[in-house]
Amino acid sequence: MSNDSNKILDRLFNHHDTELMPNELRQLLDAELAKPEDEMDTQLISDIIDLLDIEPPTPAEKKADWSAIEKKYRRKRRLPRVLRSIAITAASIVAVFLISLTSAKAFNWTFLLKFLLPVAQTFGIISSDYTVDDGQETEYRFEDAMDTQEVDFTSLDELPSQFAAAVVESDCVPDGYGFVQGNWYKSFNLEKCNMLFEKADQWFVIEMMEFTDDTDPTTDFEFERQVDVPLTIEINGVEVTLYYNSDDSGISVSWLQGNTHFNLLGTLDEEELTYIIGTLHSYLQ
Amino acid sequence: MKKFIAVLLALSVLFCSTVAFAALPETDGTQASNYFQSYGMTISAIGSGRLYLTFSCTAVGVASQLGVANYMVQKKNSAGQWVDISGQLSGSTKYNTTSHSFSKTFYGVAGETYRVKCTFLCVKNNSSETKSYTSGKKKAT
Repeated sequence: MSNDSNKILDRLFNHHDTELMPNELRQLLDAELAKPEDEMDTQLISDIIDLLDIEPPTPAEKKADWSAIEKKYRRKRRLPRVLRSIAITAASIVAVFLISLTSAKAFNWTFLLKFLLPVAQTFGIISSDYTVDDGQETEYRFEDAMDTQEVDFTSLDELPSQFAAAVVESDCVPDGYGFVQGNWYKSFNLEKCNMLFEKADQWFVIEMMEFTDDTDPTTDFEFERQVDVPLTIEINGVEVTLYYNSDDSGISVSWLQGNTHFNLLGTLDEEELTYIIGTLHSYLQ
Repeated sequence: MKKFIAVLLALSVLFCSTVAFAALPETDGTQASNYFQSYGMTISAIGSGRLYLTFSCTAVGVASQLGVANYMVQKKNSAGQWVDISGQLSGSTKYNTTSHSFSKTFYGVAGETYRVKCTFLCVKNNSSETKSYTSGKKKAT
Protein backbone atom coordinates (compact mmCIF):
# COMPACT_ATOMS: atom_id res chain seq x y z
CA MET A 1 0.00 0.00 0.00
CA SER A 2 1.09 3.53 -0.70
CA ASN A 3 2.03 5.90 2.08
CA ASP A 4 -1.01 8.02 1.37
CA SER A 5 -3.28 5.00 1.74
CA ASN A 6 -1.65 4.15 5.08
CA LYS A 7 -2.23 7.69 6.29
CA ILE A 8 -5.85 7.56 5.21
CA LEU A 9 -6.42 4.23 6.91
CA ASP A 10 -4.77 5.55 10.04
CA ARG A 11 -7.17 8.45 10.03
CA LEU A 12 -10.16 6.24 9.30
CA PHE A 13 -9.64 3.67 12.00
CA ASN A 14 -7.44 5.21 14.70
CA HIS A 15 -8.48 8.89 14.99
CA HIS A 16 -12.15 8.90 15.84
CA ASP A 17 -12.32 12.66 16.33
CA THR A 18 -11.22 13.32 12.72
CA GLU A 19 -13.71 11.21 10.80
CA LEU A 20 -14.05 11.88 7.10
CA MET A 21 -17.39 13.10 5.78
CA PRO A 22 -19.28 10.92 3.26
CA ASN A 23 -18.43 13.20 0.33
CA GLU A 24 -14.75 13.03 1.29
CA LEU A 25 -14.99 9.24 1.35
CA ARG A 26 -16.64 9.26 -2.08
CA GLN A 27 -13.87 11.50 -3.40
CA LEU A 28 -11.28 9.07 -2.07
CA LEU A 29 -13.19 6.17 -3.62
CA ASP A 30 -13.38 7.93 -7.00
CA ALA A 31 -9.69 8.76 -6.87
CA GLU A 32 -8.80 5.13 -6.11
CA LEU A 33 -11.09 3.77 -8.83
CA ALA A 34 -9.57 6.17 -11.39
CA LYS A 35 -6.15 4.58 -10.90
CA PRO A 36 -4.90 1.80 -13.24
CA GLU A 37 -5.97 -1.74 -12.10
CA ASP A 38 -2.52 -2.74 -10.95
CA GLU A 39 -2.23 0.38 -8.77
CA MET A 40 -5.66 0.13 -7.10
CA ASP A 41 -5.77 -0.55 -3.38
CA THR A 42 -8.64 -3.01 -3.20
CA GLN A 43 -8.61 -3.18 0.58
CA LEU A 44 -8.96 0.57 0.84
CA ILE A 45 -11.83 0.52 -1.66
CA SER A 46 -13.55 -2.19 0.33
CA ASP A 47 -13.13 -0.26 3.60
CA ILE A 48 -14.47 2.94 2.11
CA ILE A 49 -17.52 1.12 0.73
CA ASP A 50 -18.12 -0.42 4.16
CA LEU A 51 -17.95 3.01 5.77
CA LEU A 52 -20.34 4.49 3.22
CA ASP A 53 -22.78 1.72 4.01
CA ILE A 54 -23.00 2.77 7.64
CA GLU A 55 -26.50 3.76 8.60
CA PRO A 56 -27.11 7.51 9.28
CA PRO A 57 -27.60 8.35 12.98
CA THR A 58 -31.02 7.75 14.51
CA PRO A 59 -32.98 10.71 15.98
CA ALA A 60 -31.98 9.57 19.46
CA GLU A 61 -28.32 9.52 18.45
CA LYS A 62 -28.70 12.94 16.83
CA LYS A 63 -30.28 14.33 20.01
CA ALA A 64 -27.53 12.88 22.18
CA ASP A 65 -24.81 14.30 19.91
CA TRP A 66 -26.49 17.71 19.82
CA SER A 67 -26.82 17.79 23.61
CA ALA A 68 -23.13 16.99 23.93
CA ILE A 69 -22.27 19.88 21.59
CA GLU A 70 -24.58 22.27 23.46
CA LYS A 71 -23.13 21.29 26.82
CA LYS A 72 -19.63 21.96 25.56
CA TYR A 73 -20.66 25.34 24.12
CA ARG A 74 -22.48 26.39 27.31
CA ARG A 75 -19.47 25.45 29.41
CA LYS A 76 -17.27 27.77 27.31
CA ARG A 77 -19.85 30.62 27.47
CA ARG A 78 -20.33 30.45 31.27
CA LEU A 79 -16.94 32.02 31.93
CA PRO A 80 -17.23 35.13 29.69
CA ARG A 81 -20.64 36.02 31.23
CA VAL A 82 -19.05 36.27 34.67
CA LEU A 83 -16.21 38.35 33.30
CA ARG A 84 -18.71 40.56 31.50
CA SER A 85 -20.60 41.24 34.76
CA ILE A 86 -17.39 42.08 36.55
CA ALA A 87 -16.34 44.43 33.73
CA ILE A 88 -19.71 46.22 33.72
CA THR A 89 -19.65 46.64 37.51
CA ALA A 90 -16.08 47.97 37.44
CA ALA A 91 -16.92 50.40 34.62
CA SER A 92 -19.94 51.66 36.58
CA ILE A 93 -17.87 52.24 39.70
CA VAL A 94 -15.25 54.15 37.67
CA ALA A 95 -17.98 56.25 36.01
CA VAL A 96 -19.55 57.16 39.37
CA PHE A 97 -16.11 57.97 40.77
CA LEU A 98 -15.23 60.26 37.85
CA ILE A 99 -18.59 62.06 37.98
CA SER A 100 -18.18 62.62 41.72
CA LEU A 101 -14.59 63.79 41.33
CA THR A 102 -15.32 66.32 38.58
CA SER A 103 -18.34 67.66 40.47
CA ALA A 104 -16.36 67.93 43.70
CA LYS A 105 -13.56 69.83 41.92
CA ALA A 106 -16.01 72.11 40.12
CA PHE A 107 -17.91 73.07 43.28
CA ASN A 108 -14.92 72.74 45.63
CA TRP A 109 -16.54 70.21 47.95
CA THR A 110 -13.55 69.75 50.21
CA PHE A 111 -15.30 67.09 52.30
CA LEU A 112 -15.46 64.88 49.19
CA LEU A 113 -12.12 65.92 47.71
CA LYS A 114 -10.33 64.67 50.83
CA PHE A 115 -11.35 61.12 49.92
CA LEU A 116 -11.45 61.27 46.13
CA LEU A 117 -8.24 63.14 45.31
CA PRO A 118 -5.79 60.69 46.91
CA VAL A 119 -7.45 57.85 44.99
CA ALA A 120 -7.36 59.85 41.75
CA GLN A 121 -3.70 60.68 42.27
CA THR A 122 -2.87 57.03 43.03
CA PHE A 123 -4.31 55.94 39.71
CA GLY A 124 -2.77 58.85 37.82
CA ILE A 125 -6.11 60.45 36.93
CA ILE A 126 -4.91 63.70 38.44
CA SER A 127 -1.33 64.69 38.64
CA SER A 128 -0.21 65.50 42.16
CA ASP A 129 2.51 67.64 40.76
CA TYR A 130 1.24 71.00 39.62
CA THR A 131 3.94 72.10 37.27
CA VAL A 132 4.24 75.46 35.70
CA ASP A 133 3.31 75.43 32.01
CA ASP A 134 6.16 75.10 29.56
CA GLY A 135 6.60 78.45 27.95
CA GLN A 136 7.00 78.98 24.27
CA GLU A 137 9.73 80.95 22.62
CA THR A 138 8.96 84.51 21.74
CA GLU A 139 10.68 87.15 19.66
CA TYR A 140 10.18 89.63 22.51
CA ARG A 141 12.81 89.67 25.18
CA PHE A 142 12.06 88.95 28.81
CA GLU A 143 14.59 88.93 31.59
CA ASP A 144 14.40 88.03 35.22
CA ALA A 145 14.66 91.21 37.23
CA MET A 146 17.94 91.01 39.11
CA ASP A 147 17.25 93.64 41.75
CA THR A 148 14.75 91.58 43.72
CA GLN A 149 14.89 89.94 47.12
CA GLU A 150 12.56 87.34 48.57
CA VAL A 151 12.81 85.77 52.01
CA ASP A 152 10.62 83.19 53.73
CA PHE A 153 11.05 83.31 57.51
CA THR A 154 9.75 81.17 60.33
CA SER A 155 11.44 82.87 63.25
CA LEU A 156 11.11 86.30 64.80
CA ASP A 157 14.84 86.33 65.55
CA GLU A 158 15.94 87.49 62.10
CA LEU A 159 13.34 89.69 60.53
CA PRO A 160 14.00 90.71 56.92
CA SER A 161 11.98 93.90 56.83
CA GLN A 162 11.15 96.98 58.85
CA PHE A 163 7.49 96.11 58.67
CA ALA A 164 8.03 92.71 60.29
CA ALA A 165 10.09 94.41 62.96
CA ALA A 166 7.30 96.95 63.48
CA VAL A 167 4.74 94.19 63.97
CA VAL A 168 6.92 92.65 66.66
CA GLU A 169 8.14 95.82 68.35
CA SER A 170 4.76 97.51 68.42
CA ASP A 171 3.38 94.58 70.38
CA CYS A 172 0.27 94.65 68.20
CA VAL A 173 -0.18 90.87 68.19
CA PRO A 174 -2.91 89.88 70.67
CA ASP A 175 -2.00 87.56 73.55
CA GLY A 176 -1.89 83.86 72.84
CA TYR A 177 -1.02 84.11 69.14
CA GLY A 178 2.22 82.53 67.97
CA PHE A 179 4.14 83.34 64.80
CA VAL A 180 4.06 80.61 62.15
CA GLN A 181 5.56 81.83 58.90
CA GLY A 182 6.23 84.99 56.94
CA ASN A 183 7.30 86.14 53.50
CA TRP A 184 9.06 89.32 52.43
CA TYR A 185 9.64 90.51 48.86
CA LYS A 186 11.26 93.62 47.50
CA SER A 187 11.57 94.74 43.90
CA PHE A 188 11.81 98.00 41.99
CA ASN A 189 8.10 98.78 42.29
CA LEU A 190 6.78 96.67 45.19
CA GLU A 191 7.73 95.82 48.76
CA LYS A 192 5.48 93.27 50.40
CA CYS A 193 5.56 91.50 53.72
CA ASN A 194 3.06 89.17 55.32
CA MET A 195 3.05 87.26 58.60
CA LEU A 196 0.83 84.40 59.72
CA PHE A 197 -0.09 84.00 63.41
CA GLU A 198 -2.08 81.20 65.02
CA LYS A 199 -3.77 80.49 68.36
CA ALA A 200 -5.46 77.09 68.71
CA ASP A 201 -7.96 77.05 65.81
CA GLN A 202 -7.81 80.81 65.29
CA TRP A 203 -5.44 82.56 62.94
CA PHE A 204 -4.74 85.82 61.18
CA VAL A 205 -2.44 87.13 58.48
CA ILE A 206 -1.24 90.70 58.46
CA GLU A 207 0.16 91.97 55.20
CA MET A 208 1.64 95.22 54.05
CA MET A 209 2.28 96.32 50.46
CA GLU A 210 4.19 99.43 49.56
CA PHE A 211 4.29 100.61 45.97
CA THR A 212 7.78 102.00 45.72
CA ASP A 213 7.78 103.36 42.18
CA ASP A 214 7.08 107.08 42.05
CA THR A 215 6.43 107.09 38.30
CA ASP A 216 2.73 106.28 38.51
CA PRO A 217 2.83 102.52 37.95
CA THR A 218 -0.20 100.52 36.93
CA THR A 219 -1.25 98.58 40.00
CA ASP A 220 -4.22 96.27 40.31
CA PHE A 221 -4.79 93.75 43.08
CA GLU A 222 -7.75 91.52 43.77
CA PHE A 223 -8.55 90.76 47.41
CA GLU A 224 -10.45 87.54 47.17
CA ARG A 225 -11.78 87.27 50.68
CA GLN A 226 -14.13 90.20 50.38
CA VAL A 227 -17.58 88.87 49.76
CA ASP A 228 -19.89 91.44 51.32
CA VAL A 229 -20.52 95.10 50.96
CA PRO A 230 -17.69 96.85 52.79
CA LEU A 231 -18.06 99.20 55.70
CA THR A 232 -15.87 102.20 56.25
CA ILE A 233 -15.24 102.73 59.92
CA GLU A 234 -12.73 104.48 62.12
CA ILE A 235 -10.56 102.51 64.52
CA ASN A 236 -8.43 104.59 66.87
CA GLY A 237 -8.24 107.41 64.34
CA VAL A 238 -7.59 105.11 61.40
CA GLU A 239 -10.18 104.94 58.63
CA VAL A 240 -10.46 101.32 57.54
CA THR A 241 -12.51 99.38 55.02
CA LEU A 242 -14.03 96.41 56.75
CA TYR A 243 -15.47 93.25 55.15
CA TYR A 244 -17.40 90.77 57.24
CA ASN A 245 -17.36 87.60 55.14
CA SER A 246 -20.81 86.04 54.88
CA ASP A 247 -19.46 82.49 54.95
CA ASP A 248 -18.26 82.97 58.55
CA SER A 249 -14.68 82.53 57.42
CA GLY A 250 -13.47 85.61 59.19
CA ILE A 251 -12.82 89.26 58.85
CA SER A 252 -10.96 91.05 56.12
CA VAL A 253 -9.79 94.58 56.77
CA SER A 254 -7.85 96.96 54.55
CA TRP A 255 -6.50 100.42 55.19
CA LEU A 256 -4.02 102.87 53.74
CA GLN A 257 -1.26 104.70 55.50
CA GLY A 258 0.72 106.88 53.13
CA ASN A 259 1.91 104.75 50.22
CA THR A 260 1.39 101.54 52.15
CA HIS A 261 -1.62 99.28 51.87
CA PHE A 262 -2.38 97.06 54.88
CA ASN A 263 -4.57 94.00 54.86
CA LEU A 264 -5.61 91.96 57.86
CA LEU A 265 -7.39 88.66 57.35
CA GLY A 266 -8.42 86.02 59.84
CA THR A 267 -10.73 84.74 62.54
CA LEU A 268 -10.40 87.81 64.74
CA ASP A 269 -13.03 89.29 66.96
CA GLU A 270 -13.67 93.00 66.95
CA GLU A 271 -11.66 93.64 70.09
CA GLU A 272 -8.56 91.93 68.68
CA LEU A 273 -9.01 93.72 65.37
CA THR A 274 -9.25 97.11 67.01
CA TYR A 275 -6.21 96.38 69.14
CA ILE A 276 -4.00 95.32 66.19
CA ILE A 277 -4.89 98.22 63.93
CA GLY A 278 -4.76 100.88 66.64
CA THR A 279 -1.43 99.69 68.04
CA LEU A 280 0.28 99.27 64.69
CA HIS A 281 -0.96 102.56 63.36
CA SER A 282 0.29 104.41 66.41
CA TYR A 283 3.70 102.77 66.15
CA LEU A 284 4.13 103.54 62.43
CA GLN A 285 3.20 107.17 62.65
CA MET B 1 -27.48 43.53 37.80
CA LYS B 2 -28.40 45.91 34.96
CA LYS B 3 -31.14 47.48 37.07
CA PHE B 4 -28.74 47.94 39.96
CA ILE B 5 -26.16 49.68 37.76
CA ALA B 6 -28.81 51.90 36.18
CA VAL B 7 -30.11 52.95 39.60
CA LEU B 8 -26.57 53.60 40.85
CA LEU B 9 -25.74 55.88 37.92
CA ALA B 10 -29.05 57.71 38.17
CA LEU B 11 -28.52 58.35 41.88
CA SER B 12 -25.02 59.71 41.33
CA VAL B 13 -26.22 62.16 38.66
CA LEU B 14 -29.12 63.20 40.89
CA PHE B 15 -26.79 63.74 43.82
CA CYS B 16 -24.43 65.91 41.81
CA SER B 17 -27.20 68.11 40.41
CA THR B 18 -29.10 68.78 43.65
CA VAL B 19 -26.15 69.66 45.85
CA ALA B 20 -24.91 72.20 43.30
CA PHE B 21 -27.60 74.69 44.36
CA ALA B 22 -26.66 74.42 47.99
CA ALA B 23 -23.04 75.17 47.17
CA LEU B 24 -23.67 78.69 45.87
CA PRO B 25 -23.39 81.30 48.62
CA GLU B 26 -25.67 84.30 48.69
CA THR B 27 -23.35 87.16 47.92
CA ASP B 28 -23.31 90.36 45.99
CA GLY B 29 -21.85 88.52 43.02
CA THR B 30 -18.32 87.96 44.32
CA GLN B 31 -17.30 84.68 45.88
CA ALA B 32 -14.77 84.19 48.63
CA SER B 33 -11.78 82.01 47.87
CA ASN B 34 -10.43 79.54 50.37
CA TYR B 35 -7.11 79.67 48.50
CA PHE B 36 -6.17 83.25 47.64
CA GLN B 37 -6.05 86.20 49.97
CA SER B 38 -4.83 88.54 47.23
CA TYR B 39 -3.24 88.48 43.79
CA GLY B 40 -2.25 91.08 41.26
CA MET B 41 0.45 92.95 39.42
CA THR B 42 2.36 96.17 39.37
CA ILE B 43 3.70 97.42 36.04
CA SER B 44 6.20 100.26 35.74
CA ALA B 45 7.64 101.92 32.65
CA ILE B 46 11.41 102.15 33.14
CA GLY B 47 12.49 103.70 29.86
CA SER B 48 13.86 102.47 26.50
CA GLY B 49 10.56 100.70 25.83
CA ARG B 50 11.01 98.49 28.86
CA LEU B 51 8.34 97.53 31.36
CA TYR B 52 9.04 96.22 34.84
CA LEU B 53 6.45 93.57 35.70
CA THR B 54 5.93 92.40 39.27
CA PHE B 55 3.56 89.51 39.94
CA SER B 56 2.43 88.85 43.50
CA CYS B 57 -0.06 86.64 45.31
CA THR B 58 -0.83 85.68 48.90
CA ALA B 59 -2.56 82.50 50.00
CA VAL B 60 -5.02 81.97 52.82
CA GLY B 61 -2.62 80.28 55.18
CA VAL B 62 0.27 78.17 53.88
CA ALA B 63 -0.01 76.83 50.32
CA SER B 64 1.85 73.75 49.18
CA GLN B 65 2.36 75.51 45.83
CA LEU B 66 1.69 79.15 44.99
CA GLY B 67 2.46 81.51 42.16
CA VAL B 68 1.85 82.15 38.48
CA ALA B 69 1.32 79.18 36.18
CA ASN B 70 1.66 81.17 32.96
CA TYR B 71 1.39 84.67 31.56
CA MET B 72 1.31 86.53 28.28
CA VAL B 73 1.81 90.11 27.14
CA GLN B 74 -0.65 91.85 24.86
CA LYS B 75 -0.22 95.02 22.84
CA LYS B 76 -2.90 97.47 21.82
CA ASN B 77 -2.92 97.84 18.06
CA SER B 78 -3.98 100.84 15.98
CA ALA B 79 -7.57 99.53 15.88
CA GLY B 80 -7.70 99.55 19.68
CA GLN B 81 -7.68 95.78 19.93
CA TRP B 82 -5.48 93.78 22.24
CA VAL B 83 -3.27 91.30 20.43
CA ASP B 84 -1.08 88.64 21.93
CA ILE B 85 2.58 89.33 21.17
CA SER B 86 4.46 86.99 23.41
CA GLY B 87 2.57 83.73 23.39
CA GLN B 88 2.07 81.87 26.63
CA LEU B 89 5.14 82.04 28.84
CA SER B 90 5.98 80.04 31.92
CA GLY B 91 5.55 81.80 35.24
CA SER B 92 6.99 81.04 38.64
CA THR B 93 5.72 79.12 41.65
CA LYS B 94 7.01 78.42 45.12
CA TYR B 95 6.37 75.56 47.53
CA ASN B 96 5.15 75.70 51.13
CA THR B 97 4.76 79.41 51.37
CA THR B 98 2.22 82.06 52.36
CA SER B 99 3.12 84.45 49.55
CA HIS B 100 5.11 84.51 46.32
CA SER B 101 6.23 87.36 44.13
CA PHE B 102 8.58 87.70 41.18
CA SER B 103 9.52 90.34 38.64
CA LYS B 104 10.37 90.40 34.95
CA THR B 105 11.76 93.06 32.65
CA PHE B 106 9.94 93.15 29.33
CA TYR B 107 11.64 94.76 26.33
CA GLY B 108 8.88 96.38 24.35
CA VAL B 109 8.70 99.42 22.10
CA ALA B 110 8.47 102.94 23.50
CA GLY B 111 5.10 104.52 22.83
CA GLU B 112 3.24 101.22 22.64
CA THR B 113 0.64 100.26 25.23
CA TYR B 114 0.78 96.84 26.82
CA ARG B 115 -1.04 94.74 29.36
CA VAL B 116 -0.47 91.32 30.91
CA LYS B 117 -2.79 88.34 31.24
CA CYS B 118 -1.80 85.58 33.63
CA THR B 119 -3.08 82.63 35.63
CA PHE B 120 -2.41 82.56 39.36
CA LEU B 121 -2.24 79.12 40.96
CA CYS B 122 -2.69 78.04 44.57
CA VAL B 123 -2.49 74.44 45.77
CA LYS B 124 -3.64 73.52 49.29
CA ASN B 125 -4.49 70.14 50.80
CA ASN B 126 -4.15 68.31 47.48
CA SER B 127 -6.62 70.57 45.71
CA SER B 128 -6.03 73.70 43.73
CA GLU B 129 -7.58 76.89 42.47
CA THR B 130 -6.55 79.10 39.60
CA LYS B 131 -7.45 82.70 38.97
CA SER B 132 -7.34 84.34 35.57
CA TYR B 133 -6.13 87.90 35.79
CA THR B 134 -5.79 90.78 33.35
CA SER B 135 -3.69 93.74 34.38
CA GLY B 136 -4.32 97.37 33.69
CA LYS B 137 -2.63 98.87 30.66
CA LYS B 138 0.72 100.60 30.70
CA LYS B 139 2.43 102.69 28.03
CA ALA B 140 6.11 101.99 27.56
CA THR B 141 8.34 105.05 27.59
